[in-house]
Amino acid sequence: MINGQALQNGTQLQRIGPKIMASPLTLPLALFVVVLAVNAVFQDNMFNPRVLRTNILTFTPLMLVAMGQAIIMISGNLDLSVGWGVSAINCIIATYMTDDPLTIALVLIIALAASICMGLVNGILIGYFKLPFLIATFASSYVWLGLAMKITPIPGGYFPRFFAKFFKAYIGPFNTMLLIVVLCVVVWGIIRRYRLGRYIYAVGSDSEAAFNNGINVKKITLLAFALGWIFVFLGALMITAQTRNADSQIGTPFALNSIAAAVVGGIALGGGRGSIIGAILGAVVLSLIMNIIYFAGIPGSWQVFVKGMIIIVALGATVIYKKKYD
Amino acid sequence: MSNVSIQVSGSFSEFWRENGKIISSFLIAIGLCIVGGILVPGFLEIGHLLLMIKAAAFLGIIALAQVTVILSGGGGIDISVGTIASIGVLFSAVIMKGRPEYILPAIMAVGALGLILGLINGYLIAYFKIHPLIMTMAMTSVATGIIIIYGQGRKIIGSPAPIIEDLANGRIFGFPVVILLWIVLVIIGDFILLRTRTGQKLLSVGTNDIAAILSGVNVDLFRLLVYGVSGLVSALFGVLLLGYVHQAFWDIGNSYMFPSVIVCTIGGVLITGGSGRYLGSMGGALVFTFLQSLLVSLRMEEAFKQALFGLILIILLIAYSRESRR
Repeated sequence: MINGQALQNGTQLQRIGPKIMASPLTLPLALFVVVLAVNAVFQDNMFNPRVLRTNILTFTPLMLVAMGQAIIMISGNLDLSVGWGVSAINCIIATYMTDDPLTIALVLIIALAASICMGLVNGILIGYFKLPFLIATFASSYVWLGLAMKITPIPGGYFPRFFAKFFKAYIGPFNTMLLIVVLCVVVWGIIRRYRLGRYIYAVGSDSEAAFNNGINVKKITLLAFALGWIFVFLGALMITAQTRNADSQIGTPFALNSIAAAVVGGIALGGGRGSIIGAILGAVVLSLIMNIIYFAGIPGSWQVFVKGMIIIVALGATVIYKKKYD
Repeated sequence: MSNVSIQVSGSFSEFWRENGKIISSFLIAIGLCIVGGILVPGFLEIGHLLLMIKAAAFLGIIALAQVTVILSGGGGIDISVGTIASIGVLFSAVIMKGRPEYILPAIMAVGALGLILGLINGYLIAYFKIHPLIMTMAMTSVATGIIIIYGQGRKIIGSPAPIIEDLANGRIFGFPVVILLWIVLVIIGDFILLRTRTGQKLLSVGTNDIAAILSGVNVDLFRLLVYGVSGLVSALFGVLLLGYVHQAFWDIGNSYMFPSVIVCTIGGVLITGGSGRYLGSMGGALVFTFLQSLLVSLRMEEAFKQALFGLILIILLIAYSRESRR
């Protein structure tokens, strides 16, 4: 009897095992666990609720922007302009913000609309005008920077304290920002099951084949960008809630960091592969590495080098892994 | 070749298809000069023109590496050219310290380092099939890391040897040497590309991997070497750049990172590879530098300048991609 059950379990494991191993999430998850463990070794109070909270607060903006970048990357493109896009959204929010709830709502709607417009512009340039994504988003990023500088020539601005507190608040054990991230994952999980999500993956893996199967590649590219930039907006909102300041340079590091996070999270450029949970893990891994460098007493100058090496290692591991399990 | 000579009459459209973008890039550059001459007094003075062309020469020389990589196809692109150039600037300054007898060691050391970084790029791209854009971005991070680790907590003392300075800043009969160097390099590049077997290999690899493999070209090895050459050229460019700026800044080369790609596109180098001339990158570099210079000398508000720069680039790129749209 016991033997039979064990046998059954065994076959079940045999059936599920390869499936787990072939998942694009396995590798980022493993990396995450390793980095978390190493961090816990060096940082004694890592799982102290207060430290954990601070960490989560500082990680969320990159998580959200990386999720947006991930969606765009899954559709087979890349967006270099998210960095200064975050700057522009940050400037819109923190410059026009007041204490009046109606104004707050209006400003947020305008900022969201501006964000989606930026995504649409990139989507049109790439989808309809067939510009290479690298060049199109490099050029458009200067327009976003100009916009940000026009709105906020000198850093400054306002963000109501109670609204900032709302994002840092806890509902039970959960932080509002973290809940927003979870909500985003759920929403994307739903979209992914439906036609739009499937088409985004299809266009990303082979746009010609997708076109031949009657998918409107242009439209899907456009929608992928618009969708991605909703996440970018949320990321910009999170960082604004933390700095409570408008600064046209605040988004600069997000451009490459969001790509790095997505890549470490197992999202292949032009592969139509990967899950945005991977991008979240990637963002956390990159942020934790900075923690490790700090707490392990490694000179801060090693940060950039180690980050680059981690990206290369993750890339190489993904390739070797894919060969083995695909 | 023989094909062209037979169809000489009535093959203007053929001629235009091959060279139209190169010619129009030069025409746009001239157009920008005329606009500048009308709007900005002194813009067309010979001294100012030479100054602009000299600045364009530096962008143009590093773009030669980028053209080679893009021509090799397979999504080929090398974002790390700028950072490897920074490495070239930094270490050649430190080794030379203004001493002429150390020029050769400096060039050899810096060249070797650039070659190694380029070969690492090439190896992981060609044999591990990592996307070139992502790989070279990661390399950018690693290379920046090397610079930061080296430069941390120490003052970078170093200067170019007089000969290098003469090469970068000197004049022959009142004509900047570096412009002559640029012209010579472009002529050599196009000669190799159009008249030698290596050049034909490069174009065939870029046009169609499989056809190139069938005709007996080792595509993977060829691409590996192309990235190696790109790294080598970028590092040596760094030595030249040191002569231009006299002092080493750690992020000096970064401003060439994406512009080197834009220059190729403006010059009609097909981003998917296999089609283009080094001469095109020359036109592209002139357009890019003239545009920047024009916007600076118009004394516009910084925000407006950035936005306008992006907008004009977008318009240019759209106009360019119209012909090649499938």
